Amino acid sequence: MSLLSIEAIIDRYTLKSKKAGVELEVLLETSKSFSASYQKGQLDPFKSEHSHALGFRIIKGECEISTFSESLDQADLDLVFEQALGSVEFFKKSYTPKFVTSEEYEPMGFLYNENAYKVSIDQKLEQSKLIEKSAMEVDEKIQSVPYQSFGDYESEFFIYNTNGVRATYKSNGFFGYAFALAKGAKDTRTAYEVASDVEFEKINMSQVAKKAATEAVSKLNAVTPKTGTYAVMFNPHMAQQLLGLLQGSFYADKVDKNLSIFCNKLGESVASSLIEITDDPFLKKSQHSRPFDSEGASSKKTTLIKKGQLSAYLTNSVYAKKLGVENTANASRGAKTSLGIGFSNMVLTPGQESFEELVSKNNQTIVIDVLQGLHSGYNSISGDFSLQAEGFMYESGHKKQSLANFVISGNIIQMLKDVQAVGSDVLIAESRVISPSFLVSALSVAGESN
Amino acid sequence: MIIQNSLLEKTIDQALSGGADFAEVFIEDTYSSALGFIDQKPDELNFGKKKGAGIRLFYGTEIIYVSTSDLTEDGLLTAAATASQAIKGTSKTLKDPMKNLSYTPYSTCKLLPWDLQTAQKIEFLKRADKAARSMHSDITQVSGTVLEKVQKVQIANSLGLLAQEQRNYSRFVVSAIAERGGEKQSGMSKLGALRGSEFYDNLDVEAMAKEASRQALTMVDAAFAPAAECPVVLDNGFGGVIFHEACGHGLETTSVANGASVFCDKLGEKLAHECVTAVDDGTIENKWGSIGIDDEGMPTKKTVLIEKGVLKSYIVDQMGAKKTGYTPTGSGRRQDYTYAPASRMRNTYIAPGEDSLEQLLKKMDNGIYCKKMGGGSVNPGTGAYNFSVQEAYKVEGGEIKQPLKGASLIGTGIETLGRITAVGNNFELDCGMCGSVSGSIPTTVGQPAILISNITVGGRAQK
Repeated sequence: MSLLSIEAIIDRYTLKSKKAGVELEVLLETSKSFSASYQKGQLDPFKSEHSHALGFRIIKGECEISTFSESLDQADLDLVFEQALGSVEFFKKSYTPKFVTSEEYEPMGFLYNENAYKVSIDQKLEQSKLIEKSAMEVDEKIQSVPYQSFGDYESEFFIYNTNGVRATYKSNGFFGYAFALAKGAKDTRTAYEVASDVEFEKINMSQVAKKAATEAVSKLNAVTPKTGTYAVMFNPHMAQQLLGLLQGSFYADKVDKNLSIFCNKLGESVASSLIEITDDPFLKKSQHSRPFDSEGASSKKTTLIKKGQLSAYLTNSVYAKKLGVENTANASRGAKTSLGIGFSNMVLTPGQESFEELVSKNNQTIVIDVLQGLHSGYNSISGDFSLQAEGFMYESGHKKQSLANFVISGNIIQMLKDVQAVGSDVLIAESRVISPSFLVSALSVAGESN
Repeated sequence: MIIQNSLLEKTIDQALSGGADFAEVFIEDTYSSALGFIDQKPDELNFGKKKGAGIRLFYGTEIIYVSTSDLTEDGLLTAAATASQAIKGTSKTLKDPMKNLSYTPYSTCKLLPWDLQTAQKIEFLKRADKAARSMHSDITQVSGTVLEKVQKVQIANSLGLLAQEQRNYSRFVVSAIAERGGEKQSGMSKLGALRGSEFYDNLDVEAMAKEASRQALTMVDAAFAPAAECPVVLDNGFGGVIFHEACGHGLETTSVANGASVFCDKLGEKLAHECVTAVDDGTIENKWGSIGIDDEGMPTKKTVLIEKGVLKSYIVDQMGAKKTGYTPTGSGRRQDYTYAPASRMRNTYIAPGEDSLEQLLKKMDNGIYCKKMGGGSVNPGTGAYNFSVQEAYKVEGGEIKQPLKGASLIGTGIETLGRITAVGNNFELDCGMCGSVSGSIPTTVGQPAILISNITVGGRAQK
């Protein structure tokens, strides 16, 4: 085996590219992660991962192709590189792809904690151990914490192209979650909570576990609501999941291929005037912020929906050129995937009102805290959704009854138009979608027959 | 062979140096290729190599898992040392010399992905595009993908096991979008197999493409499904996703051993009508969910889960066996070397009964006929499952009436199992990808049409 360093890789394949008359982009992703969880006091599992992956993207005239290798062995890299050269001419684009040129990048020191390495494995294991112990202390109805973990990660993204880009950034952080299971006389309920931060001291897994356990117990004795139309509110966790379904519809490639619900809707009203959605790559506290996109274009903040009107699509260099619009620097590509478009952080701008104020606006409000089947219950072509849900019935602002075994249905654009209020309780923890609670005036609920 | 036996032995010894009871090394070398087609032309080809190792230790019922994409001696020994340091016991060494495992393979491979020219694969996709668009001018977009994967695995453990397998996967997917009067709907057709690229030789890509267009054209005129509780008939093939979600995941020891399944302690109990027999079988020749050996190096098996309504077995991996005392079923599976194996399904199905589809519809009388199902998910802890219906119809007096869209079916596993009141004879298997704790793996679901006496249909409430 003959492993190559990144310098040797760049030298070798730049030379090969010149000889073959092609342009080259190289991505190298390296990552290290650690996590641990305990079941009945036993480590299950202790997990440590160290990986690297290298991606080539080759442009030849109007043609483009990508390939990858997790092995940095010269024989493996030569194999995938030569195969890519042999196939590139089959993939002719309707535009001339071109790599971005070197740019200035805004430093983002908040993504990387230089002192994180000082936290020992034993300290991390201690945090992990707290999860099960703390959750079980909350109530005797807590049976177990079947899914849980505490750990850390460190990753580095490096990009080089034959057009002058050569850049890198690192990120790291600590994360943990607890998924507690409560068993009552009539039913079994689960609830989860998450936490993440670049500083170890900022995470308290005991609190995270207790919150999940308390929530799981409060969800016991659930009933199925009567079928009908209700005011429905999504807590920040679920608002993130629901808005996440919309991500692809903002991508210029999906719009171009007629695969977006926002096709031909620029300038039109697609949501309530309370809705403002941006892509914000500079957001502090988010591990998804980044100084440049996956092509090396300098990050920009883009407003996509302003006062309910669709104002932009997200692009990468090739779709910006194809559609004759500004490059929003949203190229998304891992070493192992082809060039696409993606959000850095999809942010629903928070409103002024608290959760309590939102839930008091209607006589009856169903607050959703679990949505299942998001991968299959949403039709990204039509925007129709039909999703299994759990939650609580609130009456005049007071929590009344745990609810389960029902389905919420509608069309996502109509739902955004029916948004009655956006909360101030924004959550930044678990995903690249960042949202406060929001309240929808009317949504179809399928539950118990009337 | 990916890694020499001597290095595997050295790695296991290093891994045991912390005092683990058991050490396993899983080595993987995978080539994968996905060729995409849209807008009537090839769109992208993404291919490459995945290579790495996963080292797993048991210490009592504790599990240590370390993975690395560095397969050099240094890389493997460093990973083994990291794993061993998690245990504070007395150093051990490999006791018995490793012996090659012999087993029955359940797949064939005559052609590898690189034996088939890119031009030939593009031709399949062009034929599919043409056939899909030939159905109607309202078909406005067609996309297709040719997927191929060659996964070589090598598994060695401290009990002296040495096993290897090459798994060849081939899959073809085609989707069509129909647009009419401002309404857009999609249809999809897919086939996959555990076999080499000769899979494409006899593939009727035109029929698959036309089926995708038929679904899209049918659904573009459909009314919204009602929000209701009513009986349903779920047709064959991917209809089996109901058993996969509602019961299958709850029978995996990954959930059962942690007390996170509604099926805990129910072995021997009658949970379903006598007409229900359900099987998880890794041994079906060339089927998408089949394997020769599982990812723990155990030859796979056919496992009867439910026989005439009685729960007979769980789906058991090695650690699941250690924790519960049940016998392993050759079901330890993982997406790749970055995941520790877990008990997972293979080809899981409800066995055929005697009624025809027409007889089932007559028995139902009024309700909903679900012809094509989408994906679903489950919370094994509560048993609450859901899945989406891609193509449904209203049924009145046993006759199929107008198409319905936007329906999800929900329920809880044990309850729904008890409501299967009749099983048809039109048995069929269909392929899919299943995501869970050990990643995304190829699985098959299947069944004949079945009648469920009552289920919650999540459609639109009538205002």
